[in-house]
Amino acid sequence: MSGRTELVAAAEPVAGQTTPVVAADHEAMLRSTDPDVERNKRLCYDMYRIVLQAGRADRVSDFIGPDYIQHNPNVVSGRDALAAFIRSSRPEREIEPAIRLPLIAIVAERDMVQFTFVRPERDAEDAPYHTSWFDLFRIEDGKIVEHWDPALKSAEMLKLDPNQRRLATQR
Amino acid sequence: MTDQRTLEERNAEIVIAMWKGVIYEGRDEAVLQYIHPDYIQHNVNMPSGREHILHLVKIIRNLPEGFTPPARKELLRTVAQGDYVVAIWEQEQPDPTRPGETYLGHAFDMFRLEDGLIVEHWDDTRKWPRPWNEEQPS
Repeated sequence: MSGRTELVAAAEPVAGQTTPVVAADHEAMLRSTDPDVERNKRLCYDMYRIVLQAGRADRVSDFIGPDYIQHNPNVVSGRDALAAFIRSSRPEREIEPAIRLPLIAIVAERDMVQFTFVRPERDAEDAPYHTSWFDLFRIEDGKIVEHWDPALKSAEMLKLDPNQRRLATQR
Repeated sequence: MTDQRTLEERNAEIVIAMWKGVIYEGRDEAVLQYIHPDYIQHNVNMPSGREHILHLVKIIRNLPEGFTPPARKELLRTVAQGDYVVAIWEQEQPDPTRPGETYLGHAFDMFRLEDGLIVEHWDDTRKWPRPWNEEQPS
């Protein structure tokens, strides 16, 4: 079966909570028996690595369609708005060969590619816990044209660099 | 007649039937029919184990005084591949910048299935002040 990969423990569990897991092998997850689905997965993976992780706002047009529809309530639609958001929320970094955020799964079907990550958070008493973060992309003619995530409206998010949410063991 | 549906189509149907039977109707039979006994739960508010879902449906059937049930979510679509099904939901959220108004947010649930049973679950839920499993049905 395409895309099947082992899940491995990603960090020490917080007492009383389930151990967070990540995918052992990104390359295995990127493969598909359907060449269109595999191309879509690699497009989104590379966009994540180069634009969102390395902060390369200048590379946005390699991956994103001009009429990009953004459902994150903190960022307006449009390719240029995404580039502006990247510039104002994170520094440029070296382009790395893999996504460094703790990736659990890539689930792709037809024109959709969905990423699931472990997300470290802190509660009201500042105690650490793990939840999950999701990014869903729709692809048309080889470019990403629509994006959904679970973000709530908050001024704080406009300045949040999610690359700071790596797991302690991965830093 | 042979079953022409793909594994992904069957898995997505199981997830939607589970959500209706467990979350909306609070039926024990739906928990036992769709959820694996060794269920792994990554939602921070609940421990792993099917017995905690059986406790949850008791709460859903008899909501405790002052307990606000999870808001109804409208299914936007599912994305399925192999053992995984992701459900993406639309949900009205209170707008912090415009008191009294709402905007459309999105919520996500990912399920892993084994032999037609849901065996693992992830979602974007933040930690609540009090976990579900401490609530007692009224």
